[in-house]
Amino acid sequence: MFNSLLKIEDLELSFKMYEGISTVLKKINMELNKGEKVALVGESGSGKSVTTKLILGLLNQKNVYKAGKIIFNQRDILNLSEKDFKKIRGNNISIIFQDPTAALNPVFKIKNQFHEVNLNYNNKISRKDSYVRSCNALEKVSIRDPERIMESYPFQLSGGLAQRVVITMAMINKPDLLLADEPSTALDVTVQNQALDLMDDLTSQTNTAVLLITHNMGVVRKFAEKVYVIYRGVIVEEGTKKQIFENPGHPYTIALLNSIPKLSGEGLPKHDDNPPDYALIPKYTHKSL
Amino acid sequence: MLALQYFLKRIGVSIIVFFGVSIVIFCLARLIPGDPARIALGPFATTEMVEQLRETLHLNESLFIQYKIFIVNLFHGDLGISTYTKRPVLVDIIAYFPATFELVLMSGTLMLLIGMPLGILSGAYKDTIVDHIARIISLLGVVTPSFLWAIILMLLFSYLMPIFPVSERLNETLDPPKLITGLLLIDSLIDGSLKIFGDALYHLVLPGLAIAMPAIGNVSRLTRTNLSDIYSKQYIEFAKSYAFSDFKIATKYALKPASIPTVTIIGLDFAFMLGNAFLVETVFVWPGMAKYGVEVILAKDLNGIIATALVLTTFFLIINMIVDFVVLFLNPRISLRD
Amino acid sequence: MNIFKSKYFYKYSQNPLSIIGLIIVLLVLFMAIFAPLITPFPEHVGPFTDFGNKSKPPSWQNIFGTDKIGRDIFTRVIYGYRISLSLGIVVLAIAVPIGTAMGLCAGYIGKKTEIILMRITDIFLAIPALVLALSIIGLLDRPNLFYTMIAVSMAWWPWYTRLIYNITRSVRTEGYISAAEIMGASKFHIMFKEILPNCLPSLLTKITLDLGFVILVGSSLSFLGLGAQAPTPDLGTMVAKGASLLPTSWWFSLFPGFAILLIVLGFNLVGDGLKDMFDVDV
Repeated sequence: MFNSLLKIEDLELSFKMYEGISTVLKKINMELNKGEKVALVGESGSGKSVTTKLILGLLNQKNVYKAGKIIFNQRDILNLSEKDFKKIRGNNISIIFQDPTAALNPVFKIKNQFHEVNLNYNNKISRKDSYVRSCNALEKVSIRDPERIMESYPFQLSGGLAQRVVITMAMINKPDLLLADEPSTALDVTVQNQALDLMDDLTSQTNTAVLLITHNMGVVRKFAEKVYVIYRGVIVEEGTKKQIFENPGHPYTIALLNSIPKLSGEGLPKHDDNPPDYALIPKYTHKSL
Repeated sequence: MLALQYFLKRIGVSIIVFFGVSIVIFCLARLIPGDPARIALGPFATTEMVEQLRETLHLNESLFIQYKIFIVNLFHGDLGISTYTKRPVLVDIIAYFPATFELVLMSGTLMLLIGMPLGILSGAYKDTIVDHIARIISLLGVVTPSFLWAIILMLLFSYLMPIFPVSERLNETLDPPKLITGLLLIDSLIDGSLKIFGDALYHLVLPGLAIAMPAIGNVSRLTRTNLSDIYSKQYIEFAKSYAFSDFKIATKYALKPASIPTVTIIGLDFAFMLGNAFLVETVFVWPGMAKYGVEVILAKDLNGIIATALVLTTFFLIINMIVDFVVLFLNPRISLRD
Repeated sequence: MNIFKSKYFYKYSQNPLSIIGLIIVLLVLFMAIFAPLITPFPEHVGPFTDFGNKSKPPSWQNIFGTDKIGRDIFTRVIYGYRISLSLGIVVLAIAVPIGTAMGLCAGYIGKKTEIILMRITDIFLAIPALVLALSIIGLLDRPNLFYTMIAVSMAWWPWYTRLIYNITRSVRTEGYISAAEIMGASKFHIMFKEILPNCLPSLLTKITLDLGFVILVGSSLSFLGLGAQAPTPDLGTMVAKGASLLPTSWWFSLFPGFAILLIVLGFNLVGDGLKDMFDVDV
C-alpha cells in the first residue's frame, strides 16, 4: 500500500561454511508502514540480528547466499549496489546497537563521529555547521551541556548518556526507518526506560518507523504496536501487541510469555521440559482488525 | 598536567634503567676471563708494561671503585682510550655515531613508509590477492637475515642493475660538506649542495633497506592483524552502517585505534634494527658505530666495546621514550584517565 | 594415538602454510640427524682440502658446488644445519627455564620480588639483543660456538620472563588459584602446578617461533666471525666467507644463506600455525 515503508518478501539467507550450508533465515515475510513501531522478538540465534544487516546491505561476503525481496520505499534493495546503499545508510535508514560505548570509536571525540553522520545529510557541510547542528540536536533531547559531550571521548560517558547520544546520532537526519538492535540490553533497567522513552519520542516526532529487535518481552510490551515472533529463522507468529499478549496463538510465543518472571509471586515460571520443535508448528497469524 | 607527570616519570625510569645497563655492561667487561691489559698490549708485552697499563686503567682496584671512576669519567665525557684506534673513545663515537644514526633513521623511515601501508593494504583487502602478495613479502622480510638481504640487494641493485651504490656514504669523487652535525643529509642541506644531498640519500637506500626489511615484515604483519581485529569491532560496523567513506574508515577510523599496539612494537623493532646495523654496516662498509663495534670486538678493545654498547643502548632507550609518547598521544584513555 | 585425527591438528591444518612449515621443519630435522648417511661427502666437514676441485660451480656431483678449498658445499650446509639446530635447542634450553621461573616468581610471590625481578628484566630488555650478545662474546677470550650459545641465551631469557609474568598476572586472580591457596597449597605448587600449565600454549608457540629467530641471530653472529670456528661448517660463517667473492662465486654465499632462510621460515610458519591453533598472542 502507499503507506508501506518496508516489505520483506520470502527472505532467505544462508551461509556456506566448512560443515555445509547453514540456513539462517527461511523465507520470512514482514511489513512495516510509515511511522509504525514493530518488534521482532526471538531468542539468540533466531536470525533477528542478521535481518538488520541485510536491510543495510552489510552482508556481501563470498559465502553468503540471499534470496527474496526487501522492498524499501517501493524499491527492492536486497541486491542494491554499494554506492546506492551508501546514500541510504545514515540517511533513510539508521541503526542503533546494543552497547552504545562499543558503537562509538574510542579514540575519537564525539564531535568527530557526529560530523561523519552529518556528512550524510550534506556531504559538503563544514565542521562548524556540523558542530552547531549536532549541539542543537543534543539540546532537543534534554542534554544540558552539549559542548561538553561533543568534546568528550566515549569512555567518558555513562552507558545511559552514551545511548542517548547514539540515538540522537541515529535520528539527526530524520530517517524513514530506525533499526534498533537490542538497544537496551546493555543498560541498567532504570536507564533502559529512559532510552526507550527517548526513542519513542523522537521517532513519533519525525514519523520514523522503528524495527525493534529484542528478546525482552517487557520492552516489546512497552514499545511496539505490531509484533513478529521469530524462531530459528522462521516467523512463527505475527499480530498486534494486544493480540500477541492477550491471545498468543503459537506454542513458542506462549512459552516466551510464560518465561517472563511475574512480580505477583507465583514462583518460578512454568516451563516445559520437553518442548516440541517449534519450527515444525505452522505460523499463527492473527486476523487483522 | 598529566602528560607532564607521565613525561617526568618516564624519564626517571629511563635514567634508572640507564644506570642499570651501565652496571651490567661494566660488570660484563670486568668479570670476563683474561687480563684486559695483556690482551690489549698483545703477547709480546713485558710484565712491566702490562702492570703499568693496569695501573693506568685502575684495574687493580675494587669493582666499586672502578665503576665509580667509570661513571665519573662518563659524565666528564671521558670514555677512555681505545686500544684499537689509539684515540679517545669519545672522539671515535663522535666520528662514527652520526653515520649509524642517519642509517637507522633511514631504516626507521622505510619501515614506516613501506611497512604500514603494506599492512594497511593487507588488512583492508583481506584474503584477496593483494593481501597474499603483501603477506609473502612480509614473511620473507621476517625470516631472512639482514645480512642475506644486504647481499641480495647488493646483487640485484648494484651488480645486476647498477642503480644504487654499495659502499661508503658518499661517492669518492665528491667532497663532503662542512662538518656540523655529522649527518650528511642535514650538513649538505645547510651547505646548500643538493647534489651531495642526493648522493648521500642514494647511498643510504640499500643499507637502510637491508636493515629495515625484517622490521618492515614485522610491522606489516602486525598492522594487518591489528587492523583486522579492529575491523571486527562494533564501532567499525557502526561506521559502515552510517556510510562513513570506506577510505576514511581504513585510513582514519580503523587505523588510529589499530596503530596503538603497532607503535609499541615499532619501538622494539628499533632494537632489532640496531642489531642488524652491525651486519649491514659490515657488508656495505659503512663507517658507523656498528662497524666500529665489530672491529673493537675483534680487537678486544674493552673501552671501545663498553662505549659502543652504552651508546647504542642509550639510543634505544631514547627511541623507546619517544615511542611511549607517541602512544600517549594516540590513546586518549591513558592521557585523560586518572 | 593418531595425532592426525585430533581436533587440534584439524584446526592447525586449516592453513596450508602451517603444513608446509611443518614439512620444512621435519625435513631439515631429518637431514640434520641423518647427515652422515645422506650427504655425499661427510669427510669434507673436518679438516679436508682438495685444491684440484676448488671453487667449482654447482654440478651433478656437487649440487651446491665446492668452496675455496674444494669442499662440497651441500654436505657442509647439511652439517651446518646440525650446528644451527643445536644452537637453537641449547639456547632455549637455558633461556626458557630461567625466564619462566623468573616470570612465575615475579608474577606471584610478592610485590617486592615483582619489582626487583621486573626491573632487572627491564634492564636486560633495554639492551638490544644483538648488542648484548655481541658485547658478551666480544668480552670473552676466544669466540666459539659455546660462548655464542651462552651469549644468546643471556639476551633471550628476559622475553620469557615478560611473557610468563604477563600470563601469571592475569591468571593469579582466577578462582582456582584462590581455591588452591585456601586449601593451603604452597607457593611453589601453585606456580608450577596451577599457573604454569596455563602458560603452556603460549610457551610452546613462542619456543617454536624462537627456534627460528635464535638461528637467525646465531647465524648473524657467525657472519661476523663470532660463531663456530673453522673447519666446523656454520651457515653464517659460510655466507660471510663467500660474501667477498660475490658475484662470481655466488654459490658460496647464496646456498648457505637460503638454507638459513629455509629453516627460519619453517619454524616461523609452524609457530604461526600454533598461534592460530591456540589463539594466543606472544
